[in-house]
Amino acid sequence: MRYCDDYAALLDLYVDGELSPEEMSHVQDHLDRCPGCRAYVDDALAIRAAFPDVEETEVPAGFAEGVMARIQTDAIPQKKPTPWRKVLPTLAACCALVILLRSVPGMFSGSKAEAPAMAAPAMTTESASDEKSEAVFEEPATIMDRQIAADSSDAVTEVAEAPAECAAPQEAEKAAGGPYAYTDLSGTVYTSILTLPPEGAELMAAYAPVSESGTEVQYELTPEEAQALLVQLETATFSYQSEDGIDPTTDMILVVLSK
Amino acid sequence: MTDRQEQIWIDDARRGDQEAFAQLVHLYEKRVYALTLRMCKNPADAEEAAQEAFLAAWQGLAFFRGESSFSTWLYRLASNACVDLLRREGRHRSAAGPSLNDEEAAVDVADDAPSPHALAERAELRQQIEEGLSALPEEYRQVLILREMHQQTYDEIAEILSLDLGTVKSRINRGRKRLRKILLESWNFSATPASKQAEKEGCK
Repeated sequence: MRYCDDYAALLDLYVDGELSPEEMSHVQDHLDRCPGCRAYVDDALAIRAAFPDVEETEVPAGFAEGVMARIQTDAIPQKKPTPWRKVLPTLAACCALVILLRSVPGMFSGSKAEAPAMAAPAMTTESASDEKSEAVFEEPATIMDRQIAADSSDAVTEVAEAPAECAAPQEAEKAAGGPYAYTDLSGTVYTSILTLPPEGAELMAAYAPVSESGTEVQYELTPEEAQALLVQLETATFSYQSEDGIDPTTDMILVVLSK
Repeated sequence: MTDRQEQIWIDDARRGDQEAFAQLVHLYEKRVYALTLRMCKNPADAEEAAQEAFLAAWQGLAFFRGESSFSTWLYRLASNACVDLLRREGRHRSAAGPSLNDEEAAVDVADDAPSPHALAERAELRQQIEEGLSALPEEYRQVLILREMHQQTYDEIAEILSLDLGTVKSRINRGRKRLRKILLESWNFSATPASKQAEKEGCK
């Protein structure tokens, strides 16, 4: 005998304990009178009773050791949440610049399609892929974070539409004078920048520069190297610039040594 | 093992303690593998997906903030790992079985059929359920395994599979009906015209 259509949707909820006490009682009353629905519930419970048990599952030998070996031998790093306090000022600065420039009559008379696509798309891509890779870890309660990320993406999109002045984050950052995220041509993202005066040359001699211009030398430091350098700088006789609270656990750190 | 101990391992692992994470792997390996085994349907893929889930958990511990239970979060990673694996190997659709639009409607249960309830005592029923699960579309298999094997609530299943609650209810309802139908059919039951009439009318 078939279960009642009126109760079809309630029977599973009843079996799974997803009804309120009043609803449970209501369905129970019906089950007392209806053999069709009762058969369905009995079958569902019988299936549950005979359902394969987790404890009977045989895990392949050495499974846990295999996981740990991959973590150790491949040195799989633990990801860290993006420190928004560092990224947001950059994006805010770019947005402010865009708004400012758009407010200038004649500055944006053309359509968006005419806006030059400069270096910023690389940053957009980076940001988008980060968001994607982190999405899997998100819990529902992090909607706020997601909103921030979405807002940030919007902001970055704005950057992509911006003229050359804002296309290079480094330039914008210098104007803003705060901490920034810098993307170089290879796609490496620096979330911390340390600027040293010429007196820092001696300390930096231990590192190989990644680029050099007439006015400055740039070095890429791993978080560990940066931490060691910060310790040395504590006793340095010269002053240097770093954003408030360099986080040595974040991405690569760029050191800019002035000549 | 207490919840408190588990929380200590989670906190320590979040700070990079591999030994603590190894304890969590040992604690959950059976549950995660039981899930991936039924979702991937072959042991090699299941082991790979389970391993990927734990590696993702290690990498992403900083993103786990305890707003859901650790197990729910881990099952979600395992579910994602299975989906990624199947998609990568191009077997996502072929593993899914019949179309979801294929309602279970037509045939249902006859009064005198040997119901799963009556068969519960038989050792074969478990095997029949395993086979029935394999024959189910992936969407139904997932929710039933999470519900019956891992005792997850509807809310937790919604979270693990990133579905809304209504979809979870619907899939459990349809999946369970279809599994029941498969079980009945696997015992050589075929509905008679009389019982089909009874199905149409339902109970009053």
